[in-house]
This record gives sequence, C-alpha cells and structure tokens, in this order.
Amino acid sequence: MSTMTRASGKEPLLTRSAGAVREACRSLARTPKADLASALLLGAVCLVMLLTLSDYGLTYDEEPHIRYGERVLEFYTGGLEGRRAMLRSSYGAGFDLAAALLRRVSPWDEFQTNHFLCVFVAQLGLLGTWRLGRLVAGPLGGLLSLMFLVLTPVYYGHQFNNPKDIPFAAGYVWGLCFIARVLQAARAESPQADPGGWRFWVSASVALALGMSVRVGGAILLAYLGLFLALEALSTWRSRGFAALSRLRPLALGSVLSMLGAWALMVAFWPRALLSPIAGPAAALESVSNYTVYDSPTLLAGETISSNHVPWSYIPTYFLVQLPELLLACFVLGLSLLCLQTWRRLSRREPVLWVWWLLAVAVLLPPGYAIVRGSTLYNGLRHFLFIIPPLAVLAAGAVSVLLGQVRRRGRVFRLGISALLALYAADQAQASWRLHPYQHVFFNRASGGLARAVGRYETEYYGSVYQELNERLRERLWQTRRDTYLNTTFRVSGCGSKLFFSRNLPPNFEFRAMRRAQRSDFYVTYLRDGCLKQFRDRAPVVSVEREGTTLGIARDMKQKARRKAAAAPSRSTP
Amino acid sequence: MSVQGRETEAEIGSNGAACRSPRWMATIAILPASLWFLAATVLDPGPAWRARYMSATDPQAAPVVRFERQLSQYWNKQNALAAPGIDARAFSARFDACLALDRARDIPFMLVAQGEARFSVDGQAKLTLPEGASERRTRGEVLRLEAGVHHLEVELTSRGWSSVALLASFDGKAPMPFPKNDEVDGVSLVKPGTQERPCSRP
Repeated sequence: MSTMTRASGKEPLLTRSAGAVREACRSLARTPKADLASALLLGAVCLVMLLTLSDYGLTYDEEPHIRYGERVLEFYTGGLEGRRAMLRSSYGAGFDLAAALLRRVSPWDEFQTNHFLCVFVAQLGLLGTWRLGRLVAGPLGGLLSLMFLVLTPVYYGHQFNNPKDIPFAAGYVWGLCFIARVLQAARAESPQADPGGWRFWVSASVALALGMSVRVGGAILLAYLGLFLALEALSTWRSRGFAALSRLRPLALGSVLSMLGAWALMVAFWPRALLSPIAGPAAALESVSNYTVYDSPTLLAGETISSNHVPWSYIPTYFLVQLPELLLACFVLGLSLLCLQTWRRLSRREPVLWVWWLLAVAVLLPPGYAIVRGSTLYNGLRHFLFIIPPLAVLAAGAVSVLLGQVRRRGRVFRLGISALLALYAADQAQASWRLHPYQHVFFNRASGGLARAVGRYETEYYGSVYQELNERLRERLWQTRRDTYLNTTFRVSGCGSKLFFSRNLPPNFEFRAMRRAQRSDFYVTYLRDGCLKQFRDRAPVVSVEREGTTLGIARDMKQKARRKAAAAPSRSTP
Repeated sequence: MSVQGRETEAEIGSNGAACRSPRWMATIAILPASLWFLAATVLDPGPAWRARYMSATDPQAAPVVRFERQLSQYWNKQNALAAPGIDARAFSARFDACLALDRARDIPFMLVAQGEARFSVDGQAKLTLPEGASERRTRGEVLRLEAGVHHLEVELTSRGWSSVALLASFDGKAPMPFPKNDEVDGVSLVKPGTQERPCSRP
C-alpha cells in the first residue's frame, strides 16, 4: 500500500499519475490539429493495410528475393562462403536478409512473412514521408504529404508485395529526411550548426544505408548530401561572409562520418560488397544502369517496344498517366513556385531554399539519368516508385503555400481549396477501393482510365491477380463438378511463373508449360505479353475484373472434348 | 515557397520544441504491425504434422523425425532432399496428426501424390494410390467422422521425384492443405503423442 500512497517519499503515486495524464492532455491540446489528423490518417492506413494484407497475391519478384535472402543468410552463417551467382548479385540484401531472419520466427509461410515485412517497411516509408513533409512545410505539409502518398493508388498497391522497390522507396525518403535536417541545421541562426548530436549522425548513417542496402543506386543520397551541403556553404559565404563558414565545420565532419557509416552498413548487408567494398558496388552500379540482359517487350501508348530501346518519353508518360491529376498539378505548381522563389531570392542576394531543391532533384534526377543513359526500362514506372514520396512532399509544399496565401484573402478561398482536397481524397480513396487489391493498375481519368490503358500500357504485369483468379477457378470447379473434382488432377497452363500456380492452387492442380497448353484442362492467364489474347475460342470459366476490365481469365481447354464424349452415348442409343 | 516557407524557416531556425515532430507518430506507424506479428506468433499453435522420413538406399540410417505445418510436399532437382541426408528419389515417409472435432462431420478428404501413397483414419485405410503411374494422381472421398479425436496418417513410398499432399474441407469450400489460418471453429489439428497412443486425450 505504501507504494500506492507514497513513492520514494515524495508525492503519492495516484497524484503523480493524474498529473502525468493532465500533462499528456495539455500536450495533446498543444499539438497542432494537422499533426493529430496525420496521426489519425497514419493509424487508420496502417490498420487497413494489415487487415487487407492477405488479399494481395504473390508477385514474380518475390521468389528470387526469398531465395537470395536464404543464400545470403547461409553466407553469413556458413563462414562467408557462397554460390557465385549470389556473390555477383547487383542487389544489396538488406531487406532480403531481414526477411530471411524473420522467417525463422514467423508463424506464417515465406510469402506471407515477406508480405508482412513489405507492409511494415512501407509503413516506415509513410512515416518518413510525413516527417519529411512536416520538416520542410510544417504540420499541414506533413499531413498533405502523407495524404498525397496514401492516395496514389499505384504506390499504395505496391506496398504489399514488392520486396525491392518499396523498401528502396522507404530508404530513399528517410535518407532525404536526414539530408533535409542537415540542410536546415546549416541554415539555423545558432553559432554552431548542430542537428542533434551523435545520435542524429548515427541515425543519419542508418537512414542513408537503408536505401543503399536494397539498391546500390541509393548511393545517390550521398551525392545529394555532399552537393547540397556545398551549396548551403556557398549560400552562407555569399550572405554572411567567409568567416561564417566555420560554423558549418561540425556539419561537414558529421556528414562525412555518416556517409562512411552508411557505406559500412551497406557493405555489411551485401556479400558482394563485403568481399570487395569499393569495386563490388561500383561494378553493380554500372551493371544496373547499363542493364541489357533482360529484354522484354513493353507497352507504350499502344506500341510494343523492346525494353532495351525505350524512347525518352517512356517514364514521363507513365508518370503522366498513372499519377492522380491533382498530384501532378500540385507537383508542377510546386516546381514553378520553387523556380520563381529562387529567381527572386537570387536577385535579392538572399539565400536559396536548397532544401526544396533537394526534393526537386530527388524527383527529377533519377529518371533524367535513366533517360540520358538510355537504361533498360519495363513494367511502367515500377522502378521509379521511390520518387513518388518526395514528389508528394513537393506537391504538398505547393498546397501549403497556396493555403497560406488564401488565408489572407478570406474564408471562402480557404474553404474552396479544402473542399477540393476533400473531393480529391474521396475520389482517390474510391478508386483504390474499386481496384482493390490491384491498385497498381490505376490510370488517371485524363488518360482514359484502366479500360483504355489495357493493350496500350503495362497494367497487371506483376502476377498478383493469380491469387484471386486461381481461387475462383478452384471454387467454381468444386461447386460445379464436385464428383470429378475429388478424383481428378487438373492440368493447368498459363503465362508467367510456375509459382503463380503451385502457390495459388491446391496440389490437385498441376502446372504444365505453355507448349503443352493444348493438352491441359485449363488455360489461366493475366494480361501481360498479350497472353489474354491466346485461346480466345475456348470458353471462359472464371475471370477477374476491375472497372469493367478483365485482368485475368481462366479458359476451359477441354470443353469441346467433354461435350463430344457426353454426346457420344446418346447418339449411339437407338 | 513563400508564406509557409518563411514560417517553416523561422520555425526550424529556432531549433525549439515547435519544430520537433511529435515522437508518438513513430509509435503509430510501428506499433500496429509489431503487435500484429507478436499476437500471431504467440497464438500460433505450431506445426502439428509429425513427419518421419526413412531412406530407402540406407536402411540402417536412423529415420529423421520433424514437425511440419501442412502436409503438402513436393520434391525436384531444386528440392532434392526429403530431409537432411535423405535423397528425395528413394525414401519412404509417414506423416501423422490428430484431428479434434467438436461434432460429427462429413469431411471431403483428398490424397494427392506422385508415388505410392495411403491415407488412413484411426488405423483404417481410406484412400490409396497404388504404385505404378509416374504422374501426380488424386483420390478423394467424403468421410463421416464422429465427434472426438481422430488419428490421421499418410504413408508415402517414393521412387523418383515424388509429391504428397492431404487436402480437406471443413467449411464447404474446395479442399485445401490444412490447417489453414482461417480454420473453422470446432476443428483443430494437434500434434500426435506416442506411437502406441498417438491421439489419446486425458
């Protein structure tokens, strides 16, 4: 009882608890409304993601990553020896190794575990986007950044089953977040620029390493840090004189150390880099930016083109047709405002807002580099999903500025913009609901929507539709041919990985290669590579449709033979 | 970024409490998934199928016994060992588990195998796939099982690459390898006990 009434001879415990609750309530009351709204949005999205996790099927990128993760784990636990292919992989194993470790304690199978980790990392990416938005544009900017990202269906859909592009996007946005903090500390008025002591620099190392440990291209963050810190130094020199540069010394030292720390972390999670810390990543960077091994046909505005020879307009077009119109408009507005503001500041000899240029460069440089290098591109904008979070932040910044401007002009303008945003949010949320769980096939209204995109652009290229399609086939056969079902091994052919069938169908369905499709019982396929157009004379059994468009179909290859067999005894009967 | 930009700059320049993001936001992002995983791990009953693998090429070798989540296995070049040290092209295996039912049920069972296989319930053979065919075959039947605990057993003899799976349906849907995550109430698969009394309940 003494602990209830008195703790350490000071105030009674209950009084202290009540005080803590009161303090928490006061603190909550002081929290900006936009932060509370962000918390509600983030919490709701995290819960929805977890509750709908099982709706998302496996994609063709997952199995190679699961295998790679297992081999990397064997490498680290087996005396740093591994297979040659694993030791030459151009991908860091940060995510795959974490997934392999998680599988050791997970109650789920390897794919479910992978999906769970994808979602967890994606949620960290959402948090990073909110933080970056809040850092550069205040609480409202954070809320709008989060809202824009969550309501971009093509990004939302990938968060569940993309083990490569989403972890990279999460690492990229966290890296940008820490660089932005360094830049803002450089701008601060304090005598010594310090963003937060050694803890900050250790966190910065981890954040910079997150992206690099998935894709070596994440090393571009180190270049951003060096470049923008140099530009801030230049601004400081111009506005405050040479002597003022000395206050940036701790920042420069911390940045160099955190870059070295990030490199060391990347090396630690990547066998190829561990065996050759400089040449390994350099060779990997060269091979991924000049990747010609995979040459698959890809679609652009109705034309089938080689992925090794895509025109410069490939990536810009996919961003134009797959991002929501308002997001695109706000991004363009943000860029325009940034250019205008920079022009004004330069003409007045005021320091440029480099942190906003960091975002602009983070969005524009990677696709620009791919265009200039003539990189191999396919699967639409999938490989550039990582630029969507900073794009959302830049767009949110533009809206924040706009709301700030209209605040002076009166309530009507502010209500008008708020209503427009609410309408946009409702419309995009409805689009995600309609397409669930295939949000990655979203095409905006201006492009004509999904129906017009089929056959003209890459739509369901990832294979996640096979989960629903195969489940429908299985249940249809069970409901309509139960007696046959119990004693039949069905043969199934289709486009894509064998795993789409072996994983999504029970073992009484056996996969046969496409060359044997004529003799299979069913032809089951998704949209990719014109596969939907094959065997169109065979009767459809089940299909998966969204927005009136077929994303996958199962066709009966033996219907004619069965009808013939059924008709034969009746003809022979007198 | 004019208006908001100036506000933000001033805010960040102060390095005070106002510029700090609320720390509890990280909790909101991290906590749901962490709790989700923790709950799934704690509530997981663990694998129930006892698998006993015996090498056909080395009869002196000790059998490998382990527990597996579902009875659904296939072996090929990429998956060439049935169990550590046991070649998947020449082995025999025995899988068993205890099925507890709260009431009598008609349950569709399906035995799918490439190789010689047999499925029995409480020691009585119910489904058989004799040796012979080289491709995957399926045998199924709706079996009436009374309330209580039943011993399910599957035996497989492999000659060449083989596969084996036992499917069942407890919810009216197509039979699937079991147990699944969304298993119906009143049905549970539990680990078997000793060889003599594998499914006795206290």
